[in-house]
Amino acid sequence: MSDTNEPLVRFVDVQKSYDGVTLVVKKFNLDMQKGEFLTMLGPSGSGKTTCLMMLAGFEPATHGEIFLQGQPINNVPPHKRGIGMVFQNYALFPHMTVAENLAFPLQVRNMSKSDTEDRVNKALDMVQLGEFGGRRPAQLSGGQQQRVAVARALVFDPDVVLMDEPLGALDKNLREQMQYEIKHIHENLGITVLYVTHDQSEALTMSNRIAVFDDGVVQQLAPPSTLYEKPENAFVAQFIGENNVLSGNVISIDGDSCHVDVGNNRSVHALKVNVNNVGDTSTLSIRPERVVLNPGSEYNNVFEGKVEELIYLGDHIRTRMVVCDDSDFIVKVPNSGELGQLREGDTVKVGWKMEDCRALD
Amino acid sequence: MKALIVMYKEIVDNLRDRQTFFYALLFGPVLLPLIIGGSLVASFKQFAIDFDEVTELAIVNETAAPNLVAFLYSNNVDVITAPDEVEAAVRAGDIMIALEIPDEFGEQLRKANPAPLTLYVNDADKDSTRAARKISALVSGYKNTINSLRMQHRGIDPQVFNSIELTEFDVSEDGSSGQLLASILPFLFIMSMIMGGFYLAIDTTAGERERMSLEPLLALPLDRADVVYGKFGATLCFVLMSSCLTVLSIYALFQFFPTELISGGLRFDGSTLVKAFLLVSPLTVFLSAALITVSAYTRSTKEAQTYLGLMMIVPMAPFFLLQFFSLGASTWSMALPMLSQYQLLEKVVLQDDINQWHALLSVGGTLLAGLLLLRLATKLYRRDRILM
Repeated sequence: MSDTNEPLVRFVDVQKSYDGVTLVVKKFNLDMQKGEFLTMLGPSGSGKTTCLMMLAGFEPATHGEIFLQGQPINNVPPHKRGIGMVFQNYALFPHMTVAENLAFPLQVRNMSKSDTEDRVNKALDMVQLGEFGGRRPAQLSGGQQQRVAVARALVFDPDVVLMDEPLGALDKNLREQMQYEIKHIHENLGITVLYVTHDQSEALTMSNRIAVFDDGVVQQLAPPSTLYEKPENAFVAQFIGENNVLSGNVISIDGDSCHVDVGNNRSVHALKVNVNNVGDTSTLSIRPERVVLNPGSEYNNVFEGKVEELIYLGDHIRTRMVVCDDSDFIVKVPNSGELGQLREGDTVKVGWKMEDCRALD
Repeated sequence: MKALIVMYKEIVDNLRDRQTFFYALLFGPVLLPLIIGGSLVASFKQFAIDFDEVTELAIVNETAAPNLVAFLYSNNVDVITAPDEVEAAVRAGDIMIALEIPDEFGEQLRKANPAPLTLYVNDADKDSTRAARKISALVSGYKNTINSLRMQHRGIDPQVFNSIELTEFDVSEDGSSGQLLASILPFLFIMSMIMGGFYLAIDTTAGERERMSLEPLLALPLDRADVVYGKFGATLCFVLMSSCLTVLSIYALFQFFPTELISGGLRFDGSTLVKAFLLVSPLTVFLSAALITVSAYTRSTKEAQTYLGLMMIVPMAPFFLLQFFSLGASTWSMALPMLSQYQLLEKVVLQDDINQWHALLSVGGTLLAGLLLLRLATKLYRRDRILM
């Protein structure tokens, strides 16, 4: 990534409405540095693709300004923005060969035949399809077609590459393989990528930063580890990774921590993140892997839990328990052999630390 | 220049598409004229009576009317002896047609009474009905001869009963079958032009939107007008190729067309077809623009096929208009695309003189309409909802 302060892409108070009434994107602000891999993550209809299309120029912003390399581009047509795009359905020209598909963006840029040929060959080598230049898209697998689409988006050295759920049509194994390939291409070429997906694992694998969208608003914009470890609200905590949720009212606040009553005179000591006053309702977020069975004295929160279901997953046993009246409380018990005696219906002590439990909105 | 790159891409892309290739360069210009021309020949042959052709006729009791049998024989009727179950044999198709002569045939003739004859024909069999028409015509001729002889025998001039003789003189010199043939030529041209650009227009606009390859195209440094002109150019090439092939196939078709079915005034020779092609060629611009515009308006291939399918009916409108109404060439009709070409091409085929002002008006009106449609297509492509 570039160290300069001037962002390559900047959204300033951008809003979008299709009907003039409902905002599908609400006051979107984003700075994206050159060389960054930024993912917009969110459920369907959250506004992430709309933001991508506004940057591409296929959707006009209803309000706000979009900048590319410091220049406002709201009134710049798509073909003058110098942006490469990759789509979920590959969007290749079906009757052209792979090499012709790659050469086309260069031909419309009036590149010479020899330069075009060089670039096409390099792009094909980059996506490991050097031998497939003469084939038509229909003669390739889904993964190979998507690689061609990636190569086509990169072949003309765009300022930014936009990827709209590019791996959505691939099966799980291929998707995971392609995630690494795209990540490596990004690292090797130092290109700037704005990526849209609803798949959190995809976002966590590839991104420098992730913008989590919901209802047209960015809920949190942070690196993957921060999003997972320090979600700022209940939506992010739920959307990124697995999460145990307990609900209650704040009964006391002490600096960075607070106590939340979760019912039946049970009080949970939690990190104060998104609560302000005593009496506020709060959602407590605890990651399953941060909960331990039979906790030691260093654990601030210790409760009784009843084992409801045990699912063997190899490296750990996914244990569903009833804890603080929540019957979907998940604990990931490491498969160390020591807890092999755990049976459904058993009652055990469970515990977690205050700093692993976040009191959110 | 960039429009040419898009055009080249679309042409190459679609030449490799078998469906487009089949409809543009095979179905429209080759198969369609063959189908329509073949149907016409079959239809004309069905209704025409060929007195030179030898027709086989089974006769029951042929000895009862030797003169009639001799008359039929002298008019290329090959008489055979009928089987016992003559009605069943005609119905089964064992014999095409049969004539039953009763024993009293000669007696009735001698008494100057109407002499009965029964003709067995199978109306469900086209060969049988065609043969029946010929036999009926011959028997009718034989009857007229006898009638004349009877009157002369009684000292009466047969002309006494011919009080009025009306002669109809067809000044068109081509007759109604000629008129139909003359209308067929523009119909074939226009249909094959539409077929030529039909799938390409759908594929390059609605099809591209549907498979979402329009986004990467519009993201390239190409003005929307370049994109539209490129797609229009590709469609125009296919439409032109299709119409050139139509000229060749119509030329070839009329080489094999029975000359007796083409009235004297009609011409389908090389120079006539070239002249017709030149007059109809502005329609390539109009129809290509229309195909692109309609496709650009639609959101999916299916929708485009529905709309363009309806567009196929449009060329039929002038065809039926001219078949059922007497529309003379006028300033207003010459300004209308398709109608003007129908009227001009009819004149070309019928060897009538063409008013140069009319030809100019037809070319100008058609090109202007095409350019307006092209402008509309460009406007449609500039909309934000082109990708929605």
